[in-house]
Amino acid sequence: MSPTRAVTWVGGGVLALVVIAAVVVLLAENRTPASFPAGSPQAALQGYLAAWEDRDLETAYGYFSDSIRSQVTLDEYETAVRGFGDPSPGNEAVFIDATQGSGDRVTVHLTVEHYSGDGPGAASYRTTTTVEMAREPDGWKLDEQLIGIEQVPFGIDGKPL
Amino acid sequence: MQTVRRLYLYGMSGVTLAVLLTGLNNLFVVVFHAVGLGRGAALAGDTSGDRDQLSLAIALTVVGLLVWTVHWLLVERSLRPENPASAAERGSPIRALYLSLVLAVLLVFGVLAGVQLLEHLARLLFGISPSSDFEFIQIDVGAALATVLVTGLAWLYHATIRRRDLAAAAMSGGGAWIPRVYLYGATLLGLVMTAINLGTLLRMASDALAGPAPGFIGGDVVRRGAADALAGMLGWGIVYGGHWWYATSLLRGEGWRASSERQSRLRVAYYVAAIGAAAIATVVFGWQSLSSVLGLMLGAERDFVSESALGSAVGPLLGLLPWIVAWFVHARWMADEARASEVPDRAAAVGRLAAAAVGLVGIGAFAGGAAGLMGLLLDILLGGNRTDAGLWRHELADFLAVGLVGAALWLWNWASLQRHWAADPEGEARSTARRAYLLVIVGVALLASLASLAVLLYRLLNAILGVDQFTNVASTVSAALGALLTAGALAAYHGLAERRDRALREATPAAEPGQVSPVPAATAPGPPASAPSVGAATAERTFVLRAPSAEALEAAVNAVRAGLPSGTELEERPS
Repeated sequence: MSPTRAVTWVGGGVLALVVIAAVVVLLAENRTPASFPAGSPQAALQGYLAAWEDRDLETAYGYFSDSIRSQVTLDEYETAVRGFGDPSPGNEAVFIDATQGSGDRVTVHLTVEHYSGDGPGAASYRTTTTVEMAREPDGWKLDEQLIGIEQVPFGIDGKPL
Repeated sequence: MQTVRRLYLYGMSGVTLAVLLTGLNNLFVVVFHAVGLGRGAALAGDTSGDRDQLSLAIALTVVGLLVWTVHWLLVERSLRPENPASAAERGSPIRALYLSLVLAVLLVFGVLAGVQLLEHLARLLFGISPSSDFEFIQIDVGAALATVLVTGLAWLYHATIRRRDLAAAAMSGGGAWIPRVYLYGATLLGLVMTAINLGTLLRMASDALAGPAPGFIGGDVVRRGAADALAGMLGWGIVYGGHWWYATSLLRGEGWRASSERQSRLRVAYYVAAIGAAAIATVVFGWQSLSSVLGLMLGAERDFVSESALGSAVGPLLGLLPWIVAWFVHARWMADEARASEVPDRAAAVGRLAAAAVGLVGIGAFAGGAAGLMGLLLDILLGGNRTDAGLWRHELADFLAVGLVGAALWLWNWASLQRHWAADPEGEARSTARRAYLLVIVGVALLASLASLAVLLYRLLNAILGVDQFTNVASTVSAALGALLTAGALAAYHGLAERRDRALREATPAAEPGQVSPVPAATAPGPPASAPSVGAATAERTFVLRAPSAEALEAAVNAVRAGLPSGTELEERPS
């Protein structure tokens, strides 16, 4: 194959790749969050995050375990959230990597993708985190103090931060 | 004119290739994420950033592809056989530089991404959880795989082009040696990273066997470290093995490439750099190990307890093991090749170079340790307070350790250089390696002396002017005074050696034109060199070279040039 013909083939191949990639993304991309079986720890965590995105703090508070709620009242939780500030949930997406544990306690491993800007100025990075969950009579609950997905204590010695 | 055209074409090709590959990389990342590779099930949030990135990736790819294709086609057309200047184009240093830079950049990006992929696989193999309290940024498997694919394909394409160039005709000058910088640079980088990762793996194995120190709270850091080291060792090992195998297969082949490779100074430079890197590793790991032992003997408190006391002494020695093997193997290969080389006096020259390189590393470490010890001693003698707190035991252990390891390396190699000097003082005095060794030490020691003197004066003036009345003057000047005395002594000792060499050179001047030089350049005892040294008599004969075409003639000239022994040249005169 002559060198110029090889370059033409490279160009043609790249253009074909572009078309195939665009089609694959448009067909395979799932823009809505995944569905999880009702009563699963993942579904409970998803419910908590949906309430958090809507800033429905009362519902979000209901997803915490008895142990957490016995430490912090709803008012104290709301005060802690206001004190922490708004971490802009619209600029991040949360994905489940793994769920470890069995019985009444599991650890959910998450990846959070953070986006900022758009086009050539866009930037993104990934962080990982875990959420401890405990099974209670009314379903799976979050068994640690979280503001959004951040592990932040709601206060010290009963006083908000 | 051709040079400006080449600069434009290769410059534009490089920039647009970067745009094209960035676009393709982003395109693959979006595709892999869309099909769930490197990304778990979406729990919440917004993934609209993916479509924004898809748009950007397509834009970059299409624009980059169009402009790159136009410029690269122009480059490729100039290589067609019907072009009388095609051989010159193929052997152009600008083309060689372009291909070498592209290959180097693609290799680094590709290997870093490949090592990330291997880390992910190794962590799965070791059963390590995806998130950790000690690690907050996660590997993006989709992005890493995209980078490996894109850089790998682009690297293969450009490597094929370079091989096609090499197969077409003999090359000389920049067209031959610039890509060799890439070849041996990649080999050296691969060797260093492989040795570092293998050493880390051995240390992690030792830590796992010894168990953590009491109170250590590092979680699964040892297993994570072992998985990452295994991945790094495999990834960089492939880089080292692949490039070294290629370079060595060239050496064992036939034709102009084998001959050119056998005479290559860059191959010798690679060996010396590998041995020098092993010497640096010896200083670092030897220092760590000996310092731990001396610290225990001196009763220094261990304030960082990631390892047990035994582990802190034995661990660095395990980290050193791969370097010792690399040092031994490379020294042996270098000596074997030098003995078999058709280049006159290569065996003596490479031995001298390696001794000088290791000697420089050794004296650097020795000087650091000696300066520190001298400073501490002066502090005690002048009534300073550096030994009031317990930290001095750590300092003493560190200075003693680095000084002892450095002294061992330096004295061993300086003694070797001096033995050669004693056997042939005039020849050694003319050796470039010995002169460079002495002048580097004198220059660096003088610079260190000046810096120490400036600090010393600053501290003394501060004390005289009462800037800080609560500090101990002796302690503020003791370190700088120690450095000044040590650097001054080393500068004087090596300056005197260089002065003695210069006197020898002046006493036995190089041969005048018309005479045969009595002292071959960079010589050792042995048969006289066949190549004329600088200023020596030359002999010449005139030939007429004919070929069926201009291109064939150019190729024949290049082949003859590439096969010439060192010191011989083919001169073109206008007809």
